[in-house]
Amino acid sequence: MPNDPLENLFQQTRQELQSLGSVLPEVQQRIQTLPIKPRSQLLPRSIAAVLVLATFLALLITRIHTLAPTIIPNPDLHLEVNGTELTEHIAAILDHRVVVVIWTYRGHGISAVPDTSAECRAGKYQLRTLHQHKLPDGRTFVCSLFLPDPAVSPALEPPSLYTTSTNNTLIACTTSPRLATPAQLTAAIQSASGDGSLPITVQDIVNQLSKQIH
Amino acid sequence: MLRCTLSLCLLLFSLTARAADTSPYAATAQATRTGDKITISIKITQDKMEDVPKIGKTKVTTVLTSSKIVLLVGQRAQLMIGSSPSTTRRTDITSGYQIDVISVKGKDSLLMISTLLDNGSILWADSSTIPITLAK
Repeated sequence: MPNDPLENLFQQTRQELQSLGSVLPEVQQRIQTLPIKPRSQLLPRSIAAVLVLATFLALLITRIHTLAPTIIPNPDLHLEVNGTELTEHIAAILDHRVVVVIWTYRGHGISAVPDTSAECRAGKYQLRTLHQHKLPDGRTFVCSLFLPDPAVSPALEPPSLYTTSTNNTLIACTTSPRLATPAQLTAAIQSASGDGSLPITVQDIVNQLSKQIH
Repeated sequence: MLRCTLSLCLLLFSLTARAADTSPYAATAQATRTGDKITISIKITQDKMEDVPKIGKTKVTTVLTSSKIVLLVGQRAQLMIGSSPSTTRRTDITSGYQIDVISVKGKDSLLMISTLLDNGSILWADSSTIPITLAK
């Protein structure tokens, strides 16, 4: 129907739409002229920084853990005789007289002299083994106590460590006693144990020493 | 002729005397230093005349003891290997070998004293100066 008002309105709209051109080429041109903004680097940089920090902290913690045993002093003396290894880690003079020796040994059929429950004499000293136990690496950790006869100076007449084998062969080595602080004694105990543990503490040694003297 | 015989006798006598003076025991050692540690390898040997089949009487060298000592520069180590009278509660070594090594700080040699003991008596003793070589 030619006189339908709705049809007339549609006709008018179609004519207006035909007169309008497309703005797409203009939009595309404007987009091409715009400068491209760089993508934000903040997130990757943050992730990288966190990773580097975490790696550094992990390394630091591992390093501290690995460095811990290196503050422990070197053994004073090491012997290898007929398949027996004997290492003196420290020979400390306590109370200006008594000598405490931290040492380790390794060897088939070898044992420390005297046994933990016994006492014996050697030279000008009374010997006592305060503590001994087998370490995981096959060595035996020993803490020995040497009580000198009156007027004997340990520095001038040092005591000896003794091991015996199944065929009754004795191996002895003279110690080099020196004054030592409790920290040095603790470090030597940790060094002797191999893993930094304390099989016996300085307090234990002092307690047993006072029992022995009294 | 008489002079010649006399000279020969004197020569034989001096050779016999020298042979009697030579000890059958000997101590040898090698020392190497790494930092402040000195490693010493020591051997005590004994020479014996033995009847070897197809060769006859010949000198045979036996290693009596072989040991290694690691000590710090400027320190002393004394090692004893042997036996003790088992009748007492004493642990002194009265028969065996004793090796005493002395390092003097700043010196590139060691003093070594080796002793052979038998029932508390010294059968043989020897002292020697061992040069210290630097470990590569």
